Amino acid sequence: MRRVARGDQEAFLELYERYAARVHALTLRILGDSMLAEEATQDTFLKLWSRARQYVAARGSFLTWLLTIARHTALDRLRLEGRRPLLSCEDDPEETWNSLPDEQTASDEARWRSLYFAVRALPEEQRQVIELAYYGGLSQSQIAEVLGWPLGTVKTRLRAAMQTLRAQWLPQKDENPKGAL
Amino acid sequence: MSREECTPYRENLAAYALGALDMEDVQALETHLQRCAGCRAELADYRAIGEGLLAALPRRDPPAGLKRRLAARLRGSGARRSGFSMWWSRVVGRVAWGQVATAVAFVLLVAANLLSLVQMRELQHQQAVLVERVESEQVAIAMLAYPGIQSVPVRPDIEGVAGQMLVDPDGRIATLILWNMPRPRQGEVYQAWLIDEQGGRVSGGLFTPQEEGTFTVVVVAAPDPLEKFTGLGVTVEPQGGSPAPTGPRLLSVDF
Ligand SMILES: [Zn+2]
Repeated sequence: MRRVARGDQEAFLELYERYAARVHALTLRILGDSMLAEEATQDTFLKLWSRARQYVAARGSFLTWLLTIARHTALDRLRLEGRRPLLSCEDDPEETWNSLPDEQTASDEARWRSLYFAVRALPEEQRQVIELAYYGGLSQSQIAEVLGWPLGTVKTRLRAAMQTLRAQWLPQKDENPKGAL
Repeated sequence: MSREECTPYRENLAAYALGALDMEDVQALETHLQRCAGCRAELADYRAIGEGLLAALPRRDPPAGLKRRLAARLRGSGARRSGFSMWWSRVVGRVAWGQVATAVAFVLLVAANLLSLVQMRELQHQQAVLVERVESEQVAIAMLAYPGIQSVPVRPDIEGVAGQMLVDPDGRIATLILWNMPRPRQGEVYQAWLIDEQGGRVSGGLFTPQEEGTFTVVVVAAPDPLEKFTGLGVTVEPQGGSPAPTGPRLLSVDF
């Protein structure tokens, strides 16, 4: 990453090699169109190239940083194109969760895979809300409009979904969770 | 913080972490978060899930041609990097990376990226979308959290007014945070002017403070990167604004 910040093109292409499929998965999920997703992926990496100095390792994972760029790039594009967010995305997870280059990556991949399946295991109406919010960039009241549900229902379902994911996916902590001081 | 007091905020934490909380609830929650460690801790969990969701998708390889095109673009652009790189290295050498996602979003949205594919038209469109979508308070909060943003004092021409301007020299958007701005008279509006190196004035937008005695946040959108301008002034203008300043000046800012 430091080499990329100094303008090392080879280092940049190595990062591309390593992360392009992650970035592309996200832009494709958000945009639902392979042409637009390809452009968003390209824009993401160009931003990485020109903005590499912004990244400071101590403050978070590089991949999260890169994917945050990708998410915003794709959501901007979605709005620019005036496209409706995808309600859901059906793909076959079995063939694509594979090829794990090293152990660290393997354990990260395992965590993401488990989150992916935790999201899929949510009740349909909860999953929709999460996906429209995060991969569709919609606010709760926009989601209520798109789905034709009362706003209160959207709020309840979003919260229930996130609480389920929190309980299932995040490591359990020792302290008393529910806000007792 | 008592549990009862937290209840309405707690209900909004998950939506906030996903960026789905409606604008009208954001400010109250952010104020509460500043005071409440319990809610901050719960928010951190939801944020972690949000970060996980970025990667929790099966990998999809982009078309092979993309890497070639990227490599070709970089070769064509090598020399163009150094322009603002010194500025950035100064910034990053001094300040740690702000983790606030909105700040990242903000900067990525507005930064006039030297290498970006996005053409001028698209960029202007994006700015319009941004200004429309993000309420000015949120932009200000995002800018405050973002490292390298310069805060410049406002020099008032009328008594009682104070403020700061947050400037990302590389970007095209700045926010003006003003205290105690009087409301303009009927039929009048305030207009911000960016002053370029030749002394020309370019409109940075119109605004009307909502309530006297509180703070007003104004998003100033510049046609060029802000480093091209030397300062800003605010004047009183007739409703609808003017092509060039005509009324008395209320305040100025030297970048
Ligand atoms: Zn609280």
